[in-house]
Amino acid sequence: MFRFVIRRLLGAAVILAVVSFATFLLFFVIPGDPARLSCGKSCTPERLADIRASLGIDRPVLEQYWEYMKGIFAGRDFLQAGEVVHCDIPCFGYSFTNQQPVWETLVDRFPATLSLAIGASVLFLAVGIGLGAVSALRAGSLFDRIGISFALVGASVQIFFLGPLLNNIFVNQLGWLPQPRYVPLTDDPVGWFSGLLLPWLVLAFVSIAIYARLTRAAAIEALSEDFVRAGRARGLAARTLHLKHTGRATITPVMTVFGLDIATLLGGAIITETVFNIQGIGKLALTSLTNSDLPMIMATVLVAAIFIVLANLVVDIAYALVDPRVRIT
Amino acid sequence: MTRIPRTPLAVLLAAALLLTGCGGGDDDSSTPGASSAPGDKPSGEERVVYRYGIDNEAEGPAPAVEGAVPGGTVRVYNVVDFGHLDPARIYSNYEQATSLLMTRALTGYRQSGSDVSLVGDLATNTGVTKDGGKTWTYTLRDGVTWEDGSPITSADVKYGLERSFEKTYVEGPTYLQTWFADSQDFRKYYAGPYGGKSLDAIRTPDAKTIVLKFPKAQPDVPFALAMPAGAAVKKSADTRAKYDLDPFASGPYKIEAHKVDKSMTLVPNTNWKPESDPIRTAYVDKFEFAFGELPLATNQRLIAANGEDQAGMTSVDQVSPEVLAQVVSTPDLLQRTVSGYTPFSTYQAINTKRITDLRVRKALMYAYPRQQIRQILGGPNNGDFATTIGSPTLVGHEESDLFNVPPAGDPEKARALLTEAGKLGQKIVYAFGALPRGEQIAVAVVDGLEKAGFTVVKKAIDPKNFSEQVSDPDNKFDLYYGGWGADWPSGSTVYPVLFDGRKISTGSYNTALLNDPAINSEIDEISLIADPVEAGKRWAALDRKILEQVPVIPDLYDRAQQLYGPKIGGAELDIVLGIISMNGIFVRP
Repeated sequence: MFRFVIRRLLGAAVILAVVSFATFLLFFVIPGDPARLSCGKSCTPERLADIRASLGIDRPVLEQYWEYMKGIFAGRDFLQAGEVVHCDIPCFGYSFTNQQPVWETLVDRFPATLSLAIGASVLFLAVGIGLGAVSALRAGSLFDRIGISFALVGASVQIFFLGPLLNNIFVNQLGWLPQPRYVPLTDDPVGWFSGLLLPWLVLAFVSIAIYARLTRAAAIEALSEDFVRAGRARGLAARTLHLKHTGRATITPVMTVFGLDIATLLGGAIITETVFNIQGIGKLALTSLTNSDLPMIMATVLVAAIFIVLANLVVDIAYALVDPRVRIT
Repeated sequence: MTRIPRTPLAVLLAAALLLTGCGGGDDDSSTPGASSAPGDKPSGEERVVYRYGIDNEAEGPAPAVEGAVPGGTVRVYNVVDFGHLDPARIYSNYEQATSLLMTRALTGYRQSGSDVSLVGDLATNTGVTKDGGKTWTYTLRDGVTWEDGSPITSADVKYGLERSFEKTYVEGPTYLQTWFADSQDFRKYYAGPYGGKSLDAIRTPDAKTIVLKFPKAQPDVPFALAMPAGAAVKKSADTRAKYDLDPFASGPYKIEAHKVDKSMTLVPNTNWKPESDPIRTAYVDKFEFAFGELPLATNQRLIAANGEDQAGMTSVDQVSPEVLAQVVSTPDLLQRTVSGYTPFSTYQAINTKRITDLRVRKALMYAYPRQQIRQILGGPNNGDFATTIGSPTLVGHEESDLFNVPPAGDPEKARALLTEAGKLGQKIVYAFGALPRGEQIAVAVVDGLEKAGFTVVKKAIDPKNFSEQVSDPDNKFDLYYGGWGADWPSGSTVYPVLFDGRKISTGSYNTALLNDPAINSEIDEISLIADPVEAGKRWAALDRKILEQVPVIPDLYDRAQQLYGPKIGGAELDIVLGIISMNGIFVRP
């Protein structure tokens, strides 16, 4: 197990290096001027010159990439209006649009994304798995059909449609919920919860169907397996049988999908964050795109990649813990 | 001035325009003189009369706003963060409106209802000139201070003006710099203070006196100084690039926190003295700006006005087309909107270097389907059909309609003109920004022009460098969109920018590429007229003279309409900027 984890960690590091290099290449080697792209909308010749000097645009790409990676572990200096500004470890670049190191903005925005992802996950996991499990146990019943249809409605609507609609009904018209927004949990727990409730519900609603259907299918399959029949024959209580034996077999495909989902959410839920103006990583990525803020775009891409790689690693390990049939060496 | 792209506006008020005659120098405000109202209004609309004047006696504190009470927090929801807050870099109207809360310039506007007066802000008056506008002298008011309590000195004003020459700060207006240098290429004349040099044309005989010396008479100096570019900047507080995020305050508010693209908090600057300021009131305890909210969401929350949104507003977003019908038909909502003409007008520019036959240009004007295009833009709320180049908010604006083109166009007449010119089937390259709205309009343009006998080629170009491409003197397009807003209500900020042939270059706004020596010299002549009323008449005449050559097809007189919460008091349209004023606002108890 230990060797497995170490190997996977090394593998993850290699993947991240490849992703970061690919991202770097994408922006720096494609036709177009990376200095101009980093310069933002209101670019001035002076700032452009600063950026060229700071990034070393005229040097070979590999050298530039090395500088970038070195910055993450050792920090680096940038020129800004003729003055040198230092970008501390971990330096993911300097945003000439925001006039601050990219990392500072990421740290400022991440808690909102984290809160959004955790709350929504709890909701869609609980409701999705619950719905799927009950439907599987009562396959063909009215509950099964209504429940799964309801979940399908969620899967068919889009956040950019559902979000503004529910917001206008429950927040503006009925006044049941406050305007969606992010306040830090540590500042105001109640405000944190009520401000994020609607975004959580909307984000969860569109994902419930996948989990419900996955759970239902896996559970129905598991329920028809020999070990279930054997357990039942041995007189195991339905509760033990369903939760312990069927449950374990059911949960693995759900874990795989969840691993990818949570990673994507942590990389920024662009549409949800935009619709509800939650200032997280997703909104940041979008704003950076419209502002042509290359260092910020690169950092958000990298952050998303890091989460995907890490989540996959965690899922693989969890697999082994949950399902003893999975042998890892 | 330029502005950020926005959603369509609503029609409410038609503005007729009166103006106040005023001399330069020590003159008091004098009797209003009238100019006529613009046409093209649906009947039964209320008419607002704007009066412009110069008031050299204005003293602080600013006149109290009726019913205003101090205190409260105003929440401002804007679709984007401010592009700039550094006075040397500000140009857009919404930036100017908020900058006014923090930054004081030598002069400024005092607005009361529909009366607008140019007054001394940091200075005791709007400026004294004894040589017809070549030399302008300003004296600072007593008690003007920075946020650290130190007095604002003539050196700070000089430094602020010098900064606008810096090559790092290219976004702001360039009036004063070009006047000082008497050349478009003003950075050759002076490259800004960061190199250690100072500008000799600005003298500071003592801590309270500033003397500006220009090579030629510049009667509009008092107006140009009212833009943020005329603001003082304290040298020791100049954080250069970061100044754009957090300028050192001279006005009633200072920035407590500013997270780019996310939020900004303004709190009172306790060192600001109301007695020293004839323009600004400061009733509100706190302005909380939130950036990134989509315009429709902002409008919906302001309509609902729950909880703290009662004291909510937006300083940039217009009423969204989706909720416009609701706003216009609900008295409560209508009551809490500001609306009116803005200084902007739009047109389609004709490349006069390529389309040299006047009959073909006229044919284009008759063929252009304005009504259909306004419908695509959002209907009548977006603006009134324009028949002049300048907006009705200009001093001296005169109603005129040289060609009497019906709103839907007159394809028959256009065809006749083309036939007469022997150019039936004339190829027209129509360039537009490759955005969904641009595509829709292009389809309508093609349709309209082809009905009249043109052959049209659509050319979609990257919206990011649209202005660069169409201002290229050798561009290969024939017709493209343009728009401009006056920086102050004088033709001097419109016609020289748009039609001075000597300015033609990539990046300039003379996109019609018109270079007529007669027009150039008339621009020079009118620019020297010291009396704004007299100049206004001449600019209006020049407007007609230019239009006779059809370098542009006038499109719309732009209108603004912005919603605010029921607990916001004192909200009004800033007539000069064409956007909601941040000054005078208070929170109702």
